Amino acid sequence: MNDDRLVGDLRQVLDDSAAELDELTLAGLKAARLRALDATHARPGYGRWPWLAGALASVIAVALVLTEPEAGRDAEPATMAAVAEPALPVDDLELMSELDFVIWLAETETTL
Amino acid sequence: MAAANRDELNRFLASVERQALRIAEINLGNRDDALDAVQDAMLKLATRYAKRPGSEWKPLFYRILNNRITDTHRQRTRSRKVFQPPRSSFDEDWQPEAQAPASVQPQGQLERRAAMERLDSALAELPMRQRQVFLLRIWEGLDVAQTARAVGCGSGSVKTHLSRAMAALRGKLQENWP
Repeated sequence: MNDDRLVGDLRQVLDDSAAELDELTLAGLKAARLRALDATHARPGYGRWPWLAGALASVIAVALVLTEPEAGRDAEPATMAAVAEPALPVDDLELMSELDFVIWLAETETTL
Repeated sequence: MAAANRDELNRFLASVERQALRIAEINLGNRDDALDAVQDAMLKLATRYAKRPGSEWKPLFYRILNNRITDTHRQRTRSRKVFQPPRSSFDEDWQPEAQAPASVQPQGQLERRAAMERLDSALAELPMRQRQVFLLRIWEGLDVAQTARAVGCGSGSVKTHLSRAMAALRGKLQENWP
């Protein structure tokens, strides 16, 4: 069996398996899709209150400066990212891990 | 989110949901876990990347889904669950779908189902990375660079994984492939 025929056969089998999903599974997929779309719509997002995000960042920055131990002042200053990263929730850490992928995609788009 | 963008995202998710479910199912060996993984991937794509250009959604979606599949495998390992090969070869209670008894199924449908089971079984025996690369390249049609980013490896590795996956599948299937 050559590769082209094998690939064609395997694609066909996989297509058939996707086309023959049962009604219950399809209903589950539809519900998941609608939930995702609703979540997009309902998500408050930081963009709605840019002043709030700015204010929060300022408060955190001031708090970090005020609470930093005196002995640490002479040490290498830590960047905001390095200070804040451990406190990020797991979801945000995942987002950070995908950022390089998003940047790569954007660069790919511009070079096409 | 604008209505037009919502419609476009809805169309995109509807266009990939069946294949995504099967890819997750083949990788996780369980339809319920697969549905959870697809739901999470849809949710993350919609909440984080809905405003990205639509052309970026597909590789992003599969990147998220593959990460979710990998996380599930890690959780299973951590919880010391005995490794279960995907689907029918080990999960005897799980039924892919309500189906008529073999005696009343048309011959063509029986043959298709048998071919699916053979392919699922052969894919289940591949290393996870080879399986992911094969499904994204051959079935989903991502290019080499997109596949590399989606599974988190280099382009050269994608070609190697695909070549090995094809050789393994050819070996496993050639004897009893229709």
